[in-house]
Amino acid sequence: MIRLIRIELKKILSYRAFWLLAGFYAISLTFTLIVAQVIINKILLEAGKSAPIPLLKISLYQFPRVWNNLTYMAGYLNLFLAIIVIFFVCNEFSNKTIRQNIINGLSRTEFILSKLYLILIFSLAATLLIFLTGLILGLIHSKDVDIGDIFSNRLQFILGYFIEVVTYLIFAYFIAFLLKKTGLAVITLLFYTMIEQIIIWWKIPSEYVKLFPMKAFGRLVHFPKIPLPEIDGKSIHFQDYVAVPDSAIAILYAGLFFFLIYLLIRKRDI
Amino acid sequence: MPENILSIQNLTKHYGRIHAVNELTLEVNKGEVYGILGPNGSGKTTTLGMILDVVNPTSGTYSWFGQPPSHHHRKRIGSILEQPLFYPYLTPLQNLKILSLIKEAPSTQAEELLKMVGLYERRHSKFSTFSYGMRQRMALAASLLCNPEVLILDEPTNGLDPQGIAEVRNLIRMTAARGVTIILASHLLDEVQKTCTHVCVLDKGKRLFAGNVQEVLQDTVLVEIAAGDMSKLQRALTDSPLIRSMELKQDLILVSLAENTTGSDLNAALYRQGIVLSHLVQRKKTLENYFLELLKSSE
Repeated sequence: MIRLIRIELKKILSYRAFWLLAGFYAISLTFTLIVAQVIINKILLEAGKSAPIPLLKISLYQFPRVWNNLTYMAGYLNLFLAIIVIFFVCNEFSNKTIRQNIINGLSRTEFILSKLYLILIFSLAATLLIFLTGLILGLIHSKDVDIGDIFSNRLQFILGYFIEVVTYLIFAYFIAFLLKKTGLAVITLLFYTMIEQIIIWWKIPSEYVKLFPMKAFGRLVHFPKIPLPEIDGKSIHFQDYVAVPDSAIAILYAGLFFFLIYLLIRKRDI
Repeated sequence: MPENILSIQNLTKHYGRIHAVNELTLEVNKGEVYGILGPNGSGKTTTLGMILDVVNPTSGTYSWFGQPPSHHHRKRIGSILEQPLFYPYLTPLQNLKILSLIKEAPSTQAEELLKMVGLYERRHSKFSTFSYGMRQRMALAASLLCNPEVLILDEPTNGLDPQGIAEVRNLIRMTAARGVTIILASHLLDEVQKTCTHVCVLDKGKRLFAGNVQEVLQDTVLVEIAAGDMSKLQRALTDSPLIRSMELKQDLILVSLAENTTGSDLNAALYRQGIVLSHLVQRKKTLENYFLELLKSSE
């Protein structure tokens, strides 16, 4: 495992395109997380002027809610990580280096594992970045910080986010492995996301929606709970936890897609 | 008993209805320089692809070092297949480092090998900036990294200038002299004749011949003969036990002699039958004659 990780790191660490992509993702992510509150409050301020009831300014960064808020927002940038994964997988095909790797002595299984490890590293790095950003923003914005609030069970969102991003990236990995071409794979990923959305919206009863792949990967961290006034005496329901069954579905899907990658590399001429 | 390096049994690959490789069987022993000779599209690269596990055989088996195939064997084999494949955005040294991690062997000779193939000055340039000839040299350096026991070369002199070709052949000879077994696929007869100890001739995925290059060349003697009465000569030759085959050229007959027969044996026999030869020249047997003969008889 260490050897495969070393091989993967050798492949990317001297590659300028990798640093550009990774740097762009990291900057977009931290920037989004930092400016989100300013923008939301600006919108609320504008809306509040014409609203019948005054809208309260919100704070995204209070412990322990910060974990739910940030991981939810970060989910919107997962597509960018998926594009990075697709780029590196398809590169192996377009340079035919997958062929040379195997000729040189990597087994087919080792090859697909090495890319899986790369996905785990990307996901860990993204999760760690969100955790650190959350910790810093939280410390700046929270009064009377209680250590119990920081490391409360709300940290489950960090774990939930990690599972969400790993499983989503394995799906992207599968599409890249199937199609071998970066452009085609990215378009297919976007197109599939759209089609699935349309099918769900059109025909599918809500209890089955969570069984669809994109929903399974995308819904681990739900929309954060916000203090909305009750409308007609009813409050809107928020799921403010990461559900274990949802995680299980996502992990099962990821297992299935990785198994399909395994079948592809077994059956194919490389 | 020579030590077996590679054994191929009835290896077959179909692409749809095309039989790229058809029931191929061959053995390569330690220390041989084994040439796989055949025209373009005869199945050479497909065969090498199968024994290196990047092409799945339709049927048949192969074994390396007397054992069933495993990716660990490939760590002991240096190979170039078709074109040189490297990470274009990495330098030669970085590419060789990845290779040594895959092969689980130290990359200490990397710089020495780059010097040998004349790329040391460019060791910090990206592979994508290399010319075709430099890429070929780079592939050669890569195939020799980690002291391989077997070297597989697919058309190694393709696209090289005459100096490069001479250097590659020299390198093959030097490597073979160190006891490394070499498997060389080529469509160039001359290349196989000059470098190989053994040869297997392929055409349309079928094995036409396999054996020792020297034996092939010594085996039969070719002579050109002519006489005043050509039709009488032809009749006399038809039943002669001294010849293996004959071929009518414009004003002479090209004869391939039977084993342990010389041109003078044939001359004496014909003289006894009252035929006086006006022309008798012994032609040097080349692999090319033999190869063309084989191709002709297979049609």
